[in-house]
Amino acid sequence: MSAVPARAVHGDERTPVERRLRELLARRSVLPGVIESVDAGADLWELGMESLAMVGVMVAVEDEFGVEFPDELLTRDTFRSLAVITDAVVSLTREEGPA
Amino acid sequence: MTEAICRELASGVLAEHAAEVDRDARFPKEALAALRSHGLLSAAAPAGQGGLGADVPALARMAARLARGCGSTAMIWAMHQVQLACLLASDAGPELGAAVNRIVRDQLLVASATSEAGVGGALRRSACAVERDDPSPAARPDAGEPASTARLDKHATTVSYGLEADALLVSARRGPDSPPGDQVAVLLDAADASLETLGGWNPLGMRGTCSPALRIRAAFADWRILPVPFGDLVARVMTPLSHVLWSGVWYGLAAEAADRAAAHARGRAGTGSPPSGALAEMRWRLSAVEAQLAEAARAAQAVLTGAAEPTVAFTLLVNSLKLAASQVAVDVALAALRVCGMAGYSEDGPHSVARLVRDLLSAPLMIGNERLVAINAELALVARDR
Ligand SMILES: Cc1cc2nc3c(=O)[nH]c(=O)nc-3n(C[C@H](O)[C@H](O)[C@H](O)COP(=O)(O)OP(=O)(O)OC[C@H]3O[C@@H](n4cnc5c(N)ncnc54)[C@H](O)[C@@H]3O)c2cc1C
Repeated sequence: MSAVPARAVHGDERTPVERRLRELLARRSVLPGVIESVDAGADLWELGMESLAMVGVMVAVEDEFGVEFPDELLTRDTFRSLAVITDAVVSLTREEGPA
Repeated sequence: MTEAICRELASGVLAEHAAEVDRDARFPKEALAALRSHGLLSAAAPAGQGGLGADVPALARMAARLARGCGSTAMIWAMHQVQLACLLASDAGPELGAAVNRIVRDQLLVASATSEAGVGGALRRSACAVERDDPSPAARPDAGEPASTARLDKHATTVSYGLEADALLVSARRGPDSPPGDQVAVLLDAADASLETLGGWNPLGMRGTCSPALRIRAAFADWRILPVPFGDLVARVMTPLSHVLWSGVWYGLAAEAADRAAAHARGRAGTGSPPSGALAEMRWRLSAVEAQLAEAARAAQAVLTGAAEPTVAFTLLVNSLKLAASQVAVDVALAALRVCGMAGYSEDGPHSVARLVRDLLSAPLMIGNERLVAINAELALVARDR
């Protein structure tokens, strides 16, 4: 998982990505009533996200940001929190150019 | 070595009691005693801990060997290995670690209660919850033996060898306010649990697994809750190992049916007519499953040891194995039945495949294939090469 850089490195890029991500999940009714305000580091699995919903999130995030997650990032860990998904998106958009 | 023992036991004590175990839908106690006497109940545990240290590919081959003698015994053994692997993978504290060590050392039998009334075979949802009388954590670390602070009450729909087991691994919501998907696994000592059989056990096949519906009630200390999140345990250990070891059992049953069909066809070789083409078809179907099984077993081993992550492609792979093996094994057994004719349809005689067919018909139901198809169809949307 070393492909995902530490949060601190991308302080400025992260904020808009995280906001877009939060809006995207809210539109897709992932954890409705919770996702809008939940802490970025909160464990989405513990909050009740279901495995099948995760696949929907993967598809939506790829489409929204124009990125493609390599298989090694398609894990429960990558989609554990808004912060971790944001890190993954930021690192992928850096590799693939801006969305 | 271990596989040779499995082969010997399969054609010996397992085969000897298989028909009676099946007819009476009773627990194969002679077979389980024999497995224990060879240390086979702790096969999946590391040698340093008193187990046999078998890796996933070896466990899958052992499951297939055992199935040739008695499908129910092989399935009980396979399900127990899965529970053992889950326990061994849970970063346990001192009390849980000691309990797991005892399970390995004494080869205690561990059953699984994940399925639940109203939830069915949806492994990743629970209705029942871990409940506490006093919601405030009254932590008194030096107050001696921790009291039973937690409770659960589960209506499990199918618990194989639940009444024979020494311990049960039970899934439940983390707490009364937790959503259905926020689960934990609890290791219950059978002696501390109240088990009430709901309804009987008179199924089509796998009758020796003795898998009735059970109401499970227990009070237990907090350390019995596995610290690893249930979802992670399912993704890393429970699902991959279940699908690989169950498929091993089904492959063994189907291979046995194919061998009986070949033996029956040999007996008719003098009649001058060529052997049925079904004999050839059974072989290519079996070799496809065998290859798929070996590949999934290798991948599962890598995930189990932490060398690889349980990615989407990995989950697709192990679910695909379960879908393919459960269907192809049934197809092969039915082809064997056509080849053997009445000799196969009979419950008795060397060319009977009746019990094999009945046992195998459970395969598509053990975690319903429609459920897995629905999951894999979603996963296919983001599937990449591994
Ligand atoms: C031999 C044997 C031993 C077993 N041992 C154990 C055990 O030890 N412990 C344990 O916990 N369980 C055990 N089970 C239970 C098993 O693993 C499943 O949990 C159980 O069979 C599911 O029950 P069900 O088919 O009634 O319910 P469901 O899973 O609800 O399925 C009912 C029907 O609905 C369909 N269906 C349900 N959901 C969907 C969906 N989302 N999409 C499409 N179709 C769907 C299914 O395919 C099926 O046709 C055992 C089963 C067998 C056959």
